[in-house]
Amino acid sequence: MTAMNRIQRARGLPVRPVRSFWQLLAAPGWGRRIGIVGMLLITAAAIFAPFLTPYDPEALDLATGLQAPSAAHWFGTNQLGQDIYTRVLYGARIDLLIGTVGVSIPFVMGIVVGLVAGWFGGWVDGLIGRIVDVVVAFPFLVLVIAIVAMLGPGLVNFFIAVSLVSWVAYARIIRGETLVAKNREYVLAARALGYRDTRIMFRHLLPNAIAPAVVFAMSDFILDILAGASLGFFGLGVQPPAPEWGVMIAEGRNFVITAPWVVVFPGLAIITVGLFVSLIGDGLADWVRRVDARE
Amino acid sequence: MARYVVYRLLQTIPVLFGVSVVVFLLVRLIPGNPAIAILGSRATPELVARVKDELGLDLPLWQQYLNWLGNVMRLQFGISFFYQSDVAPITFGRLPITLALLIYSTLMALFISVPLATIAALRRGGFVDQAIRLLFTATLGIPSFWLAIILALVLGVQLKLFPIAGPGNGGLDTVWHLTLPALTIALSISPILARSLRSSLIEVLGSDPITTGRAAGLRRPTLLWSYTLRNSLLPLITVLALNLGWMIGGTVIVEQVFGLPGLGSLLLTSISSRDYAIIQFVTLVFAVLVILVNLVADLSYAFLDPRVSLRR
Repeated sequence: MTAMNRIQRARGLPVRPVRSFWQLLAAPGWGRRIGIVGMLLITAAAIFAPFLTPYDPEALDLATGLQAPSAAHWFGTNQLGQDIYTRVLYGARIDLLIGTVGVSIPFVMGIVVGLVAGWFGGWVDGLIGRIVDVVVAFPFLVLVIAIVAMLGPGLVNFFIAVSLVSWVAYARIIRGETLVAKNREYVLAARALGYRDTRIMFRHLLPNAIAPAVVFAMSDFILDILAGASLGFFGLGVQPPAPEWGVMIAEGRNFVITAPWVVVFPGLAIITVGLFVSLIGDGLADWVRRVDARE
Repeated sequence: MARYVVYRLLQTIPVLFGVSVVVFLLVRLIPGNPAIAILGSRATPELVARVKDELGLDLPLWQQYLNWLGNVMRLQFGISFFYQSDVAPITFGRLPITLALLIYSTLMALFISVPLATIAALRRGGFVDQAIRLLFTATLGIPSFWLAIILALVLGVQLKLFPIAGPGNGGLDTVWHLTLPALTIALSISPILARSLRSSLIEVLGSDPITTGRAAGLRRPTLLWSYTLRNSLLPLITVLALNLGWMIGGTVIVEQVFGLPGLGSLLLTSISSRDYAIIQFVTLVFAVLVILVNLVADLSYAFLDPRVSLRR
């Protein structure tokens, strides 16, 4: 990336600013900074969960079932005497994984398909466009549920289902960006130099077309966690006793009147992640707009 | 206009074809022998052979598809192994509740998002705008199934304002019973509606007719209602149609949580009874519903805003 930027700068071609992590954190905009710090803290809590709690997320202790939040059990306990705080911490491992994998695979798939459609155009673009039209005709959650219903419940099948469905959004975005960038001087220059199509697509076009897809990836991350938790809630995703947040809410559902904490805290965990990631996404969107305006 | 209608109608044909291929292929995703999966614990060698024959599982894939499509064209959508009858009447019997839920939650979402978006746009950049934005950012990540339980607990069980289970006895009683489910969906869609309405309001507020109206000394309410909102609500039709899929996902969740006999709960219960014909057909009905609503939205938009059909 940086090497290429140096070369482009030397040739006087338009360059987008290097988007290193520290620049991302240091650029103005409080929402994004709060979001990034918040997500770093949650990720750290997920990784270092064993050091942050004395309990085991799946150990049973029926004697201490359904206890209200206290000094010993910050978020209370569920009907099996498991510590909710511990399970929320360990659950972050699963739910952040759901978001990360659920975004990464469709992201890569969509980028390749979108680049191909936008770059080659013609019947390739037409065919891909029709496939995209078909996939978006299905409600996202319904198609994911239907695919998981066929493949069988579980996290891997959920990832397969999400990958089959959500690449279309990325493909649409990247295709649109590619169509615009295709006729810019730097692409024409790269073509004139006789570079291969793949080199121009991935090394010249992609870095300039990817920003809106990254912005969308933030909302998609939330969408995937919501979908993954919904499937866990209905017994179609992660299987109990794993402390996935949706599974935990399902477990507490029958006790919600007498022990609402069993349901409340995993839900708040999902909302908190959603809020932080939205803040990052909004900040990124503002930034992309600003950079575009400057160009 | 007529040319646009024809063009838009023709556009749906390849999509419908693709949707039928996807729905057909769904059953091929079942690992192993689908006949055994369909029969489950009832599987005997004779029954497996019969189901395999009925489904034509030995034929090449394209021929299986053509057979299936032929049946669909003759309105034979398959037999439910669980209900022992045609899937179509079972599924369509569930449709009214889901449609009522979708309409009710759309109205409620407009009721929530239009005033808030208007205030935010008028106070652009100010404290109220920021507060509304933050509120909606936070609500965007609320899982519907969790919100449904919390609303049922607080507004249903504790405050006893609304019933929390079942569809009621028809008429106003059903509307009464659908209030909490519809509110759950409305709250999940409102951030998206409010955001797009706010930006289209801001665009219209800065446009020439408004400036002219202001210069002519029109009263603020007149400007707001007759000039700004009317122009800004048009794009909302498109936004609503585009997010229908999101709302349908919401109905699947709330129908199951609130025990409503709609399409979504039919889909989920059919998974545990391994009723693949129903799963297939419900998926098809949802997709066709999305296609139809988008068609109607596009056509009504073109009708309300002639520039759309002239562009083509």
